[in-house]
Amino acid sequence: MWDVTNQRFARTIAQTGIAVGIAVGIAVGTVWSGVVMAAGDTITYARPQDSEGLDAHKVTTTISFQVMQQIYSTLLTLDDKGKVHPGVAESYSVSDDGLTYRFTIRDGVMCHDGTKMDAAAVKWNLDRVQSPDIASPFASSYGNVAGTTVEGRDVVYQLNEPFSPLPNIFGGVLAIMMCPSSVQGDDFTPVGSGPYKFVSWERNNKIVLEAFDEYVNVHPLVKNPGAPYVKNLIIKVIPEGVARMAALKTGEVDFAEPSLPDAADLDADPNYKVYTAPLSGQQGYTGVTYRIPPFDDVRARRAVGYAIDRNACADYGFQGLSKATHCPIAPGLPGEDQELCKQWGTSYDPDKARSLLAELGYGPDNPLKVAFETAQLQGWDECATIMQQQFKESYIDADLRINEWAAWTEAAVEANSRTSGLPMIWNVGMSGTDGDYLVFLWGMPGAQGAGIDVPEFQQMLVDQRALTGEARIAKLHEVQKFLLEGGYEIPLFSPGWFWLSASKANVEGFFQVQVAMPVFNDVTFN
Amino acid sequence: MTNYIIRRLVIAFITLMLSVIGVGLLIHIVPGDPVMVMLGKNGGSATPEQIENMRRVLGLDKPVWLQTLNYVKGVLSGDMGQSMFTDQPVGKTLFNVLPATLALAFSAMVVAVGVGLPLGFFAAYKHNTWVDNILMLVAVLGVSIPQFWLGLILLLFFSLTLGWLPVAGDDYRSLILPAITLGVTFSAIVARMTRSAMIEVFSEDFIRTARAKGLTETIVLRRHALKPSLIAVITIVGVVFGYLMGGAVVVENVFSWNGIGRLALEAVLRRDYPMIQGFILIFASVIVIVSIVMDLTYAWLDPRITYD
Amino acid sequence: MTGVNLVNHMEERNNLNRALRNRNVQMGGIIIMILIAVAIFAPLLAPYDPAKIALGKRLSAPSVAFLFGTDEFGRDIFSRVVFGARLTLYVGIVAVGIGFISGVAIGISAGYFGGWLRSLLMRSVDYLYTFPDILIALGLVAFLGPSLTNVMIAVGFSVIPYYARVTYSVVLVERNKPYFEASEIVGASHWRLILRHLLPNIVPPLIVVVSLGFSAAVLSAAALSFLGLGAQPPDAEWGRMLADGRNYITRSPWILIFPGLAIVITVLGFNILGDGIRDVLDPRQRKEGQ
Repeated sequence: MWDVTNQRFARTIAQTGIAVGIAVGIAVGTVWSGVVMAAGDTITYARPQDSEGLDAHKVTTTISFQVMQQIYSTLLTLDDKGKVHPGVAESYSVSDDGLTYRFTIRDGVMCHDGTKMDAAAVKWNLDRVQSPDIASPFASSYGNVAGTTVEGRDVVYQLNEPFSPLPNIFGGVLAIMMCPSSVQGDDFTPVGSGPYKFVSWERNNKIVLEAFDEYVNVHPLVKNPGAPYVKNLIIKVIPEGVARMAALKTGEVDFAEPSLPDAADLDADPNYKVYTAPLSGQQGYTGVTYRIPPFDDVRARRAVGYAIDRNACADYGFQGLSKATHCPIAPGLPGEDQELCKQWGTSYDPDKARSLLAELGYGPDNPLKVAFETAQLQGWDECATIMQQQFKESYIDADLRINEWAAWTEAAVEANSRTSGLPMIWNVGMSGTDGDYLVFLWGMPGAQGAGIDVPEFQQMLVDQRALTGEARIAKLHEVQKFLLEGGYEIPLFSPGWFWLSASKANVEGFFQVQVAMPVFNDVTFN
Repeated sequence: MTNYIIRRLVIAFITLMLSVIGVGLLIHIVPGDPVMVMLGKNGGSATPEQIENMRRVLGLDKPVWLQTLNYVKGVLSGDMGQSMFTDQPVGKTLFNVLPATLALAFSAMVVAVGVGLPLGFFAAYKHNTWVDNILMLVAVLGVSIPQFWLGLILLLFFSLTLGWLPVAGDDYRSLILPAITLGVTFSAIVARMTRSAMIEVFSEDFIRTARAKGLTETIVLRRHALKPSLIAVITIVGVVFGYLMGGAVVVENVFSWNGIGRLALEAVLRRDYPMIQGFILIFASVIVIVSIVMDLTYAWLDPRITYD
Repeated sequence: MTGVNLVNHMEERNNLNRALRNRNVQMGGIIIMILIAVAIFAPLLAPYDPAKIALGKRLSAPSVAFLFGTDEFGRDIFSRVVFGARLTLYVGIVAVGIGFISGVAIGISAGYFGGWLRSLLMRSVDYLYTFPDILIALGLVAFLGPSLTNVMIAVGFSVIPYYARVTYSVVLVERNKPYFEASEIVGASHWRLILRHLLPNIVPPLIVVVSLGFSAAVLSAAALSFLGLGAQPPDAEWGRMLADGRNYITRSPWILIFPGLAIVITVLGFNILGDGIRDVLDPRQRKEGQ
């Protein structure tokens, strides 16, 4: 009975084998389709996550801005002291009442596709940020805008209220100028006037950029006056820390974000260089749901602050690569004063924490139960685990959940809208080039819905925008004093995310500008 | 025969349709509000108008059955929605990386079958001897090792310490370690399944008859054991392929291999619901298609199966 | 009927004896009993509080003070592995429990009542059966949200098909036996039939599935925790321990070794036990004794 079919057998096997072989071949071939580039003319940079998008008006995350920094230019620039320099605008002036800004746009700034970055293009950007279709998250960070007009080479930016931080903000990545040709109907292709052209983006894998030959540099910190020395830039995603280190070690990538434990080793190793971001403008902090009892009582909020040892976070959670800080405004930005903030805020004092909570009726038999949320980023989950232990010692029973940003933000927004139920504590971070970002965080409705609905405080936020110089610094101090004495914000550390890079020692010329933005223009290989 | 093929195809189609409906319904077991997740990525500072607007845009203000119907209609016309996170079409993103996962699954299959099949066959042949016992001990050990653990060990050893094999690239060399990790654990499964199947075959009466008739061992094997073995092998391959797709989720993440598994985990962590629905659908479809191919291959090999 | 019961009992006694003499059952059984003992006596066995952070002792190598070394927070890995046994058992029991109860209920309903119920249930079960359980679990956790509880529910759901199918086939076999028809004619109630006749016959093959299901549940739960979807800090779940420590393994390999070995040994124990029981129950193996 079987003999008859033996011949068909052999055929079957052969056919199956061939089919499988072809399928495997096709699959492998499809995958093995990376562009082959000559060594020495490509920089490969490995990061743990992918950018979310490249539309500068819609995306808010550092990891996205890091790529946009290469493709686009900003209206103004900042040096390492935070002083404002020209960018796409070669100069600017402000009227006496602080309501009218006039930006004179440099002549001859070219976009990657040959179109011009001129005053009309700048107006297009400024208008688009304010347009309701785009619903840009930074609309309010641009001030209370009346309108923008073009007069020859000038862009006239008219405000309804004074907004003195404006030059600082326009010197940073929040004021990226995209080329209008990026938007064609519903399609978006990143076209800018920055040092690198956009070539392609395989999601979750790599973004390929190419040096823009006609690039002219105006950034004060960049030495290379023209196009970047290295022609190709590939920004790759390698989520696993061990894999990133292996790729750096074997030379598969030129730069990698090191895992925190490895960073210290690499720093000590003469074969490698580790780069930090002194101009990170980042500030990590703890927030509490102040509408939910007992956090409606300032004693409970400050108790949380006393329970936290931020030095342990910085030294152990971040392996000493981050620093403990006390101010809501990040180090280096106007208004930051660690000594003053220390007086207003809280430092590690578990006895104080326990006695405050005891006044409210909490103790070892009746701990304060809270939900504790934070994001899955290196250093943050370690810090949160350490904090959870510290809370326990101060009779706070924290149920820790570690999630991606978007996921726990939803929980935080929900918690902040309640006035009863389980209170929540969360760790989050914010970065910027000016302390005005406190408006984004604590104005209404506020980040994660945590805006503080106290009229005097909201007025302070508005007032600081109208002041300049020492008066503004004093007002920013008032704002921070309110936040710290009220226990609404408990600053922890700076920097905190995507600020570390490592490369082999033969790489020269790499550095980072505000806010933890890598610069590749000067990079060369020895 | 054609009846059989048509019946199988119809069943496959129904299964796929049910999958789409099921996946479409999944979003409603979320114990929260999908809209808030979407707006959360902007720091959560959305106005009530923006929330309502988003709800309308996503179609979440409509009744459940209508939403599901819309989802099914969308999928059938090729639109699986947009990622909540990247605003990119779900289908395009997934199909871009599907070949990478298939390549991984195929390569792991080659390893699993190449190692497991001979081992299982041999163990069955030498049933109840010390050879059998040793091989089965190794196999049960192989089945008990968590793949992410094995993957980390191999990554640590071969990539980081020895620097022999690259990682996170696009080419076949980066495929070696993940394929071995996946393949090794499944080779143990293949070995065990092959052995069980072969033991049955070898103990069948017709084998005894052949041996009793005095035929040489090779002829016995080749002529009588081979065909049922092949059927058993095809069953095993079909089943294992499904498991390989599942194992790919973990392995791809350890080795940063850019396939659907990595996308899937990111989507899950970010609560990117359209993307999650998309990858479940793709996995389901691949598995259904593979099982159809298996069924049809069976029918080809043994037409008797079609009469049922 | 009495005669049937007597035969059943005798067969059970024989099976039990044979089971206890089977090498696999012995080895697997010993491992499982050790695991259960460790889980029960964890507070006595663990020298330290598994959640206690001691930042001064971070990443110390295994020593007399810390048998398995310490992790990145200075927590004693030995204590954490020991307490992790509790979590592992807990996850396994809940997941298998969910799968078992639901699966048996489905299998009995489908096999006993037949008709459209049978078609609906078994087609659904067959559909789920084609998918790898980790994918089903992943899909469910994706929508329910990451937490150990949701992992247990998801894993439990994903193993239902195994129990349902085995139960169903046993019920089909039993239904066709003469004693069953006889009981129906005599007018025995559904419950009596199910409880006194079906269940005792279902149990032996299901023990195999339970044992193997336990190992599958442990592996799935560990994988999901490793991906960050399961246990949250400071839970000492083995998969989570591996996930948390994965950036430190280059310099502190003990973080990788011990929790991993714990998983391997636990899963191995259940696999060997399951294999052994299956060998005992399989009539074909009985034929070829030597």
